[in-house]
Amino acid sequence: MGRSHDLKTLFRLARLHWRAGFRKQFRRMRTPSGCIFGVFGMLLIVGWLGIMIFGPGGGGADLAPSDAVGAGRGLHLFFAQAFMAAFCFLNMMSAFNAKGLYLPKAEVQALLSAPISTSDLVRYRLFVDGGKTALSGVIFVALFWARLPSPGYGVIGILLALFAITIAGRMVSMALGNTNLWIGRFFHGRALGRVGFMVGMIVWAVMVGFLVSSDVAGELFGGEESMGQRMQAAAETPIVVVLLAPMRPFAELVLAETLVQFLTWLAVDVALLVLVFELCAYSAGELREATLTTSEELAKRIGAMRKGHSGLSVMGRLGRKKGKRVRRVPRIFGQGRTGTIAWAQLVGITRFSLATFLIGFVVVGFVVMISLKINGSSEKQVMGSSLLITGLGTVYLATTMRFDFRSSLSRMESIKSWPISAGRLFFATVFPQALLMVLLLVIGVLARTILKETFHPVLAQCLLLIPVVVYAWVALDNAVFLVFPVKFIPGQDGAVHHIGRSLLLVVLRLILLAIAGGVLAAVLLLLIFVTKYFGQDLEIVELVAPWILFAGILGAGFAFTFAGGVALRRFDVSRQVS
Amino acid sequence: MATSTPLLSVRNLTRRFDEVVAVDELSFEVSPGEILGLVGPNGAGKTTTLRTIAGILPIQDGEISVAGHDLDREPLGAKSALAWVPDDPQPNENLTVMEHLEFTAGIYGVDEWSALATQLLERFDLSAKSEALGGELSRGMRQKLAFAQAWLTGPEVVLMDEPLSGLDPLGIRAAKEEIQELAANGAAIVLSSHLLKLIEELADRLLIIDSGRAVFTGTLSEARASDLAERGGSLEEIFLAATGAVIEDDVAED
Repeated sequence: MGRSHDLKTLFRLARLHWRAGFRKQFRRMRTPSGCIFGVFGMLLIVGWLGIMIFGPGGGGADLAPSDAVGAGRGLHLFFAQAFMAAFCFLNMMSAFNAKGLYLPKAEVQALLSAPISTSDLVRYRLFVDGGKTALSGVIFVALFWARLPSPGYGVIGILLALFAITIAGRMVSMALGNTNLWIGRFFHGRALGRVGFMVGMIVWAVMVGFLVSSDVAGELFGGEESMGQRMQAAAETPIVVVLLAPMRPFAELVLAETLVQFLTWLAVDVALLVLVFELCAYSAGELREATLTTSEELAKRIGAMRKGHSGLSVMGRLGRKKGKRVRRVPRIFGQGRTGTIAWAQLVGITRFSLATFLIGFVVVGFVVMISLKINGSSEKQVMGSSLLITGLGTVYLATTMRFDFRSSLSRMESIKSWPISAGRLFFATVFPQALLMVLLLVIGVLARTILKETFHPVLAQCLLLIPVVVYAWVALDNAVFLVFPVKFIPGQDGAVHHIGRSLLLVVLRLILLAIAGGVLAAVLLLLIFVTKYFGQDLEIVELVAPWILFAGILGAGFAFTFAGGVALRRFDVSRQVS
Repeated sequence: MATSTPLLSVRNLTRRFDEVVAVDELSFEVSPGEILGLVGPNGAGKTTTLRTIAGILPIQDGEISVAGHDLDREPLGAKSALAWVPDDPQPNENLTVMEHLEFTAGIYGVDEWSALATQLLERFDLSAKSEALGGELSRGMRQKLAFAQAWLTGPEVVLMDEPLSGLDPLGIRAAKEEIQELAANGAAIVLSSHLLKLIEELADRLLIIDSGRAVFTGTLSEARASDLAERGGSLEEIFLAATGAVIEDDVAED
């Protein structure tokens, strides 16, 4: 089989993949509900991109700080290069997780055993990557559309830059997996995922440190005060100029203003791309072993994510040395059936907890930052900020943490055979996650209180309210999930359909919550009416209202637990879930 | 084989999935110490039947009694007396092998479990894996763990769906001995498998189902004495005759 024939076959395979992807998408839309989900998903995506381009932000993100905008093309060029370099660096760090050449599980054995040269396999993979990059590039285009001097030219620049960055990442992963090279031999058999993650985190921390800490930046760049001036100083530093130089041709194309500029830099960029593309393909070397390991590991990771685990916790689990003793988790919930199930859930939370806690703290930190915008220490302001942290934090944490029925889907067959009532089983499964969320949110509320020095007696009531609010939402979230077991996994087939379905289910959860809130509001209104009717002081209502609220949300939690139990009993293990 | 009051009784069980009738008016009983071999072609309704008896799928029509407990009215009593070994066990990825047994003991209310658990790990050749996480186990190991979990609860009724999948020859032999010993100790066992040799070797009685309906119930000797043995006396020949399977040689002869 000749080389051109090899490539033709591989490109045909790529085309078949694309066609299959579109076919799956359209097949999902053949039923009325599938059609509604698909259209809704498409509207959401188009709407989101539209808001980014034409919304109030007028093109969304602006990398340059406010005092640097309008500072000239040089600074914008610097920001474009810096952004590309940061993205390229992250991409190269992620290559540590995928030594060799990643090929999908279904293809890896067939392609490695087929009479195809490694170089052609690399070309095929880069070609597929190019297609995916073009899709993800749409988001970047939307993000920066209004900031581009000439959007038509800039779009081409962004797409070419993304493709170049993808190839750079591939080159790193191939070098790490190439046993013909010393670097490949050195890293042979070593798990590098954590190294990449740690190096990435450290470099990001250093970068943020440079930008945020005026002392460090001032000392290095001459004591300038403002962010824009600091950036300008950084942009002129020789080492920064050299480090960012490889990005210069792509940044020039992104910021091209005239046709001449565009055509010149387009020619340069295309030539560069062809060069690195072929360099990447020719330098492939001996990649088979690393390719097999990587493809198997990534398949495992994708499989684990499909089971409901988050990406970081999967990394922790896969990075564990087999046979290594694990820490014993005490049975703090008792020895009974409910306690046993809750204990197993707690084991899941604590055993690979680093990633979960990290995500949890980031989420809570984020909502605390938002709440800091509320100033003052009056009762209303303290209550408002605490409720904001609780409300936003609950929804975000419930979405990111997956120690509930989302991670139990593959075991539903066993779970349903256990001799325990469905209501208790439901409670025991979701309770530990709710407890963890309560802990994080209490820390968040207290951290805000300390930061803003807003100690007020109403804080005690707010803290008391957190457990019931969190449990009610977690119970509702899981009850709906058991009726519609929909998990959105990035990159899954029929993504548009899934986005629409997931969002509609969030709306359903909110409607159910609003109904519960409506019932509670009706009770309070009735109380006010009765109090007025009997000529009593409304202070009584003010006094008992928080307790009615507490009891009402607690009652909603019970109701959602009951509904969850019913949903669990009716859960059909034979249906296909995705 | 005992012939006392059945530990498992299934009467007129019917299960539909939308328009498809997966199980159709199926009735059978299993007595203490008896092993019932459940066989049928792909899609015959074997797994659906077992899942319904295990309480995993709700009963749409019919009655199921496990160790004297009506599964519909007393699900917890029935499930406590029952152990389920699925065809592809999915252990909890975060628990170690020993913790799985601790967990099972907690769920089924087994008090003195530790010594028995250690013993079961030895019997199923899992001692070296006691600290391994569920997610690290191979297919065969997962199957052995599912056996150990089932055995730990001291079940009166055991349901097994393709229980020997993924086991090595040594594991297969050990599993067969364990199944026979469990039956000898009085448990009623339903064994579903496509390995007809295994059924022939272990089962006291046969239940052949096709399209959700029972096409034969009885002992292997009864089957051999019936019209089903026209083409031969092996279980394979009987199975093919019972399910109406046409083999190429027959077509050629016609």
